[in-house]
Amino acid sequence: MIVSGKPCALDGCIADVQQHIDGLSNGERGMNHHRGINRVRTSWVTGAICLILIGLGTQPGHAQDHAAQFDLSKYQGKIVWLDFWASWCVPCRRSFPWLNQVLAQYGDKDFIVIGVNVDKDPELASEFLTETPADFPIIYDPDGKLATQFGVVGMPSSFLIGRDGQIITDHVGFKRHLTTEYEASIEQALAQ
Amino acid sequence: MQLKKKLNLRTSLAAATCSLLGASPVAKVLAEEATPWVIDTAALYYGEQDGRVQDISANFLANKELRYGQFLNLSLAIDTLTGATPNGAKPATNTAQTFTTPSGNSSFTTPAGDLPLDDTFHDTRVALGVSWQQPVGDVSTLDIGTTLSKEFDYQHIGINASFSRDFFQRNTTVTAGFAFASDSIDPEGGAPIPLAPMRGIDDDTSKLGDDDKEIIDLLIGVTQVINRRMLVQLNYTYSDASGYLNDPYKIVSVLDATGEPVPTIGPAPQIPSHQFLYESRPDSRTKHSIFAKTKYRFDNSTLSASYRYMTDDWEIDSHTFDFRYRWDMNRYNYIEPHLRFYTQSAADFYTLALNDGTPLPQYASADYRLGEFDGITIGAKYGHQMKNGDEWSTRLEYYTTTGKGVSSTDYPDLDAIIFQVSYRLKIGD
Amino acid sequence: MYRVICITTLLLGNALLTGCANLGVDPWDRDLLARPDMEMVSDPMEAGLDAHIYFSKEASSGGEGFAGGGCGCN
Repeated sequence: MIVSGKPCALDGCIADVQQHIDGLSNGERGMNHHRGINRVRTSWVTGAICLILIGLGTQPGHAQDHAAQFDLSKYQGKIVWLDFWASWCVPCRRSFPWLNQVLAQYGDKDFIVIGVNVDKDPELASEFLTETPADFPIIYDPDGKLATQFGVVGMPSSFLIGRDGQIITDHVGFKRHLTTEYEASIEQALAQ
Repeated sequence: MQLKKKLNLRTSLAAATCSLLGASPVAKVLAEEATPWVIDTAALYYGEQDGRVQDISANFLANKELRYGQFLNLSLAIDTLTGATPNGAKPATNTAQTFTTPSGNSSFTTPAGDLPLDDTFHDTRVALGVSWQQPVGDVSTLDIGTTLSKEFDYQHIGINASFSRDFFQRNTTVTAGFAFASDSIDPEGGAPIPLAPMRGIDDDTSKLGDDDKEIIDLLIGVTQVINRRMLVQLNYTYSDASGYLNDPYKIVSVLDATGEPVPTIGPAPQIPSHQFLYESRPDSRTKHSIFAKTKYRFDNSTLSASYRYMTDDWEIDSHTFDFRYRWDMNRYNYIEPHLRFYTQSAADFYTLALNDGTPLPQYASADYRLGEFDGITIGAKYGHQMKNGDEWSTRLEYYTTTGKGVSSTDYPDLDAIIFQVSYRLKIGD
Repeated sequence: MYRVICITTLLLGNALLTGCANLGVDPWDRDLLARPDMEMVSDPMEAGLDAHIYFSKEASSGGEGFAGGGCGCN
């Protein structure tokens, strides 16, 4: 199955993202915990095709665009932290370790993190991810369609989405001294 | 001698981005918990032709981002000045001229036909700056700083503050700032009485003690994002200086009807050999400047173009055009050619010399820096980023000025070389 | 005369601000503006040294200003 954070070249990769998320939400993480051989095999094949096509297909300046396929309703019943980031955004670099941390902390309780990358050049995004890895899936929004849809007013932007798909709270920026507040809002959302 | 108002890196309001002449977002750091100190070091050589002014300096800037998005910036500059500078006297065609040194302890002689230069002045200057940048709410920033500099005959203390607010999703930034400086001058030999004659050795009749001046600057500016590739900035600066604004080492020649300097009376050898009066400038100066700049990012290069218009109540008008084109050869190397055009009109009390027998004006100065001239700078900079993130760069420039109009005769044109080597490193990464 | 200047300035200022409202980029399109060489003063060390040189040799100084542009990050 695909490793979180690697750019995908196929629509099928979205399905993989979904599977990954499902896996996480069911208390499973990583390849070893997938339910059912079939699922594993499908993910392996899709993943392999993804990787081949990455090599062949991905060109600088032609970032893959997942915005159109993104459907929030898929995550009904879960608390979603949607984080818009870019390789050129300095606070984003600092937010990733924290995002990984809250994912580890709350991931077994219906909590998922999705990163939305708005870089125009996918190479820059993958370089960033090599230096600052993400344990959560990344969706690519190079034309800013998703950003427009969510009404992003500054970078980075985070949206905390409740089980009903409605935005509970959002904030712009990442400040280390506010992480306790961010965590409190997650816990509050999970308690509902 | 030169540089009377000590410009430190935290230049009154010529300060730049977000903090010190630069502190700030220049610290684009890769950090987890701790942020590093970003240290900029530079060695600069400035040298004019024919044994004139040479300046070598060592400069340091240290910048660190602190816990709540604040930035601390420290700066240090040490420079030593040597070489000779025109003292304002007009060259004499037929006779050598002898001048008393500023200290009054000795004298020096300029041969007939030569531009009189005073080379008794060697000095070392130390300048320090500290500034602090603080976010205020979500869309504003406050910046405060202080600057200090000291050299043998001059001391500067300054404070500055500015406030910036972003509008329209940070596409528009409005900034207002002010700077206040209190400088004191204690010239070698004492500050001369304006328009008093230069006296002989150990004669301090024309000299007083020390003096001071105060400068206040106010700035208002707007920076606007035009599109994904382009920014423009427009600033208006008001500046008011009052106090002792003379250059204590500059004199004005007194000429007879034939245009030759009037000799002093007395048994030979007379020191000084001719009549020289200490210059006199008004004790206040009000300046207005309008500054416009644009930056445009192409695919592999960045263009920077700016224009500044300055006008003051000394009747000096100036225009400055500055162009830089940074070409990114690849990810790690760039080359940046630079072109600057400058032109200024003379101060209304600027004169090449005074005429014997005519009534003394209230103000008079032959300082070439108040004259009418054009200046061109042409140069290039090369920079290289290393794998560990450190960066070094070097630049070489040629700066030349030519007198014109009222300064077209006997004007001490300038030909200077500027050479700089810089290194940036991060500590605590 | 003073009134004319006053009104013109207000109108210009208003036009400028309204105009400014329409210019610009979306927050996620600031990739190029975030580049260090797209800061208004991209090399503060060099800018400071030059300011010092030209202040010493010319009758003009200053003019350059502050913030704006950049990545716009919070």
